Amino acid sequence: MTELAYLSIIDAARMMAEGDLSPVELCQELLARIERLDPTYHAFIKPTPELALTAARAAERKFASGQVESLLQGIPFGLKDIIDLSGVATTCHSKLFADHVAHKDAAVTACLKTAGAIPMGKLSTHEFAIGGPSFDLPWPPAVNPWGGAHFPGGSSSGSGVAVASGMLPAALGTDTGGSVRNPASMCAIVGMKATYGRVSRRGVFPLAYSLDHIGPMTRTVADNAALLQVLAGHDAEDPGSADIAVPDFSAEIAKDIKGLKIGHVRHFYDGDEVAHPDMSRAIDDAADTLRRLGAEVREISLPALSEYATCNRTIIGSEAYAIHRKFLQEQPGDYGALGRQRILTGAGILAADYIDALRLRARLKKKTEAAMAGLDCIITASGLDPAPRLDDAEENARIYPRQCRQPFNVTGQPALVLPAGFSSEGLPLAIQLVGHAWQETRVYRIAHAYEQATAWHKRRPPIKETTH
Amino acid sequence: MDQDETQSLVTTLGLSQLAAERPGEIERALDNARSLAERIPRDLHWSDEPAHVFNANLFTANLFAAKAQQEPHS
Repeated sequence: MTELAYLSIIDAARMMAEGDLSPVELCQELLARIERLDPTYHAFIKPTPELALTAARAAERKFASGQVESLLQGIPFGLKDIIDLSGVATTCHSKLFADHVAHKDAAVTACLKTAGAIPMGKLSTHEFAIGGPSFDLPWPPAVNPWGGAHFPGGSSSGSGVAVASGMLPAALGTDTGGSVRNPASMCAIVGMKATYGRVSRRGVFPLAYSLDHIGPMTRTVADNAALLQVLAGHDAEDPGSADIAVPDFSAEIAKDIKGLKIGHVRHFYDGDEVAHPDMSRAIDDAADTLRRLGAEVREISLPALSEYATCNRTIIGSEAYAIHRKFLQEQPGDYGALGRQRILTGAGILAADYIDALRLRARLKKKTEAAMAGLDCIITASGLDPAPRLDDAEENARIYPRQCRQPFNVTGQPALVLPAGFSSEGLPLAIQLVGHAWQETRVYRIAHAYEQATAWHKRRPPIKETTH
Repeated sequence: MDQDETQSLVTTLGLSQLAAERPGEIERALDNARSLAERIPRDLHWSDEPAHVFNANLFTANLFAAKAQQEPHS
């Protein structure tokens, strides 16, 4: 049972192709696990067992007739509930959208369905991907399986929890200021925010048009590259989508990293902000591991973390308020308190300040590119603290802005997080690897080398099962 | 900002219902916005353009591509 729950995408695909695993069996096993675990962990807004089993049977027929159309054929996945799945409500984890049924698949959903993957359901988020963790919404917030009463990160909380707890091997999240990478970091899984424009945003409820990314969340780096492969590509109906060739993201994954040049951005977590000592040590240790693997690691400086954060928050505030203005005018009581407060900030941002933030964005992008010249990638922190308790509102508010993910929403570069150890309390620690625009393949290579040199990704959370 | 100015802004923003139901929230939001604005560097030169600007080529290219995708194939 546990083996199936924690099977990687790559292994499951191989077993299915060789006839050693039935997609229906895997689907049923995970649906049963969701039924047992979700009352404790609240990863799902709505499981979709009928859709899942129909798709699993179709995949099984294809395997039986020797048709293997993609690595994702028969692989279960979940969607953060701001991503449309035709015929199912996209609630955005909000009372406001509780009955908002999607009539079409999002572009990413369509990509996964075309690949033969199995839609298992809609996953919890912070309200409209910004307001959480909150206890005043129609659905409870997701719970981190590491520790059992801790914040799983957000806003793609359910995606992080479902993958970490073995309910799903793959999930999609969205990332506007770090929302794929935060739950991936706090749940000890792999989360990738590819280059802005690499993955279509069509059919995903926006938080901030110019910063939103959709990203894959998995338990291993190789799985993540396989999932991005299916999602990436130009979409003429998304004005932010880039018409650029999609490489083989796994092409370099088995190569070593001898001679690759990596910039170490320490001042983000030991200067601009000061990380929890366990986190700081884990990142420094990871840089040493990369050195031992043959990479040339040297410390570099980027602009101050606060400049990126101000830029990111001003743009999110302005764009999110423009999207929500009508709802805030007409149905303010249908929001949770935290979501409403965060979105409302945009009401006070002047147009000139928004434009200045966009001008600052161009400057920060240029300075970041200059600092990374000649490097293959940079290593830095993702979050600065291990997960706080979910019910500790004060601590959650304190750590909410303490993070190093926003810079790469501002610059649009690919940024991946992966497990890098555990705190003295047993909570996940993570590192972030950031590449040049369109160089996801190089990021995956370095991440995979680090992952294989450590054993962090092999640890499993202490799951509590609900007994009926 | 005094109470009259805040009230006038609330009316302009169309947020009277929210202000009546949840006093204090708009003031907090305005404080947050002010604090953000204070942190934006002001040494930008007028020639520093925003990160994304209207691009006629891109705009028409996207428009034609989207239209072509929507039209049924003959």
